[in-house]
Amino acid sequence: MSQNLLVVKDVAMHFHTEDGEVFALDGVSFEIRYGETFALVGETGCGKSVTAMTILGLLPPQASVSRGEVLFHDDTLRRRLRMTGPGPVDLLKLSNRQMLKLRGVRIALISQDPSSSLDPLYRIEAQIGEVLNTHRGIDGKKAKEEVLRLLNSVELAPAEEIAKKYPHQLSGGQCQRVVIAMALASQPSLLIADEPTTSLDVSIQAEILELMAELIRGSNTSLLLITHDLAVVAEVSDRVGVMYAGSVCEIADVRSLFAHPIHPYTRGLLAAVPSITQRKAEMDYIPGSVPDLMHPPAGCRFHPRCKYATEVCKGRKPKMVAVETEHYVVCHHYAACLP
Amino acid sequence: MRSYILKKLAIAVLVFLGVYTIVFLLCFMMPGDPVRVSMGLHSDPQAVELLTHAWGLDEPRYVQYFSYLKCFVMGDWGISFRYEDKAVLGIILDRLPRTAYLGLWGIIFSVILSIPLGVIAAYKQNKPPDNAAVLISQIGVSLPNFWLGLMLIAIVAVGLRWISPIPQVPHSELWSFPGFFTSLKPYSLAIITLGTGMMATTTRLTRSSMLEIIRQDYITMLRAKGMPEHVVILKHALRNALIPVVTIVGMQVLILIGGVVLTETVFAINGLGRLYVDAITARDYPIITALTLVYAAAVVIMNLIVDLSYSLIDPRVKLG
Repeated sequence: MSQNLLVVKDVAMHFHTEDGEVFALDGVSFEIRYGETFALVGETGCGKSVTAMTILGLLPPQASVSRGEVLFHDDTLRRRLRMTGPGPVDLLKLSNRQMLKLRGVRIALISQDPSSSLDPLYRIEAQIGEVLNTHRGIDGKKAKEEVLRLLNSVELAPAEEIAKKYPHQLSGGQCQRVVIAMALASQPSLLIADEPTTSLDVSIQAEILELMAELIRGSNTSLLLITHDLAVVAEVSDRVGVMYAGSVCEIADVRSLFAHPIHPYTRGLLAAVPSITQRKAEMDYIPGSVPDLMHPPAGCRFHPRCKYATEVCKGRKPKMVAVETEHYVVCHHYAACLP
Repeated sequence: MRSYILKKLAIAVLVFLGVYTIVFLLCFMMPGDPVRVSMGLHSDPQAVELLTHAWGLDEPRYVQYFSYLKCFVMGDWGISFRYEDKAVLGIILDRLPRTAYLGLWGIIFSVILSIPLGVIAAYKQNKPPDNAAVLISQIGVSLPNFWLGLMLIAIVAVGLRWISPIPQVPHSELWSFPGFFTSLKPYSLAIITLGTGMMATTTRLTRSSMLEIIRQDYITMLRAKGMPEHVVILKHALRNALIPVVTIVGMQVLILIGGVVLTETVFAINGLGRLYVDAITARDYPIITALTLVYAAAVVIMNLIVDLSYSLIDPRVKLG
């Protein structure tokens, strides 16, 4: 049996807009293994969140997936869908009804802005209770007890008081803990955290990350962490996928990636992180700007900004190559960039 | 909460005083003289003087202002100039049931249709159901209600002979059971006439409010939590979207007052709207003043209800 929990294979997706098609994802591939933390990094607009929404089947109506597979290896989901036999489920082929047996149960989401991800009109206990009722069929007194247990598990105290509160009465960090409690309520096998700490105070970010790491460590849940914060990546993730303009350009073990990044974009990204030990007169940056996804560059999407680019990069899309165990890169000229 | 209501009531007293003053001034600035209207242009000058004195119209204006105000506060709303010897309060109470019946059902009609229509339109944005709802509300907004009333009478009552053009129900029956429901049929054309405009406005507002809410993060999160669509839309999105809708429905009571005047005139319903028009024609100052104050009271009460319902719907709203 494969140790992969989720395999995203060559997914391409575009949005229909009034001005034309926006090719948001173009051949996104990566896999997430059981119990690991996989980080997806990249700039704003590179398709990280869209990838998460594709996995969950929550793309807006104007989006359409043109190719690819999202294979989910989860026996509980197979049972819930009354599928017989082994093998993965292709999430892109599930109906909306079937997705209800997946969302919040087998794959849960933690979103970017905790204070706006809770319905302002309902008490915390009602919002968590709703999940318990829908997915685990418990309500009444039992649900109340479970709500308190969950709130305690995310270290929200006093739980009885928090349960009775409305979202606007809680801080951002507290709201995020509630969202985490809700996400973990039905012990999903994959947790997707989309920039879970971006809108929080720096002092609270570490706490939330630690809490998430601790909670999933005990439960063999895998975590897909979407972030643009390389410090967060270095801190908590096992493996990293780097995204640029709708495609994955490098996937590696976190140590390997930070020690010797190969793809020119990854190298630029890491070089752009200011360091306190090496003060420079000028900050490093990647020349040029992120391409307009309505008219993405042909071939390798990074070629207009890449100093290694040659004719071949303009014409042909590079394939993913394994440069060593646990280190893959999508570049025609990776050999020139090897350490 | 209690201090809030007390504060609102204190403001209401000022509102009434202001409305009273303005109506009083308007009555005297209006051309025409109630005595002349009542007795005709070529009446005996002595009789005119006598009636002017009897109605107190020969007193200085400030004396009239304060004496009527005093009587009004004491509960003596005076007698009507037009319907001689009839107490103003009695006339208003006599007419009120019909107008209240028409107004209440007008609002019910508009709300029952507009909210589902708005929700469906938003949920199926830019698809046929949405286009249909937008078209319906566009037509509803554009139809002047007196014209709609006349057309309904011409087609449904006169042409098809389904119902009588004029609702003839004794007003004691309107607010009884089952009269409250059985009177719906005779009143249906009037209710549609009154409610269509409101329905159209509320549909558009519900639609845009729903569209706004559906884009919110917590709606995506609810879906990501695996909540079925009916829970996401009806339990969460709709309740959030209704907050601005409640304000508008509350404010429509004001529009209703204007609509009632036209609707009652078209359908010959003896309600407050027609009384208002008749009173103005007859320069019936006591009725005009009292009725305006009754309308002002309705507005103040409606605003209070809207404010209170906010605090019920939205926990973020604290009255104070």
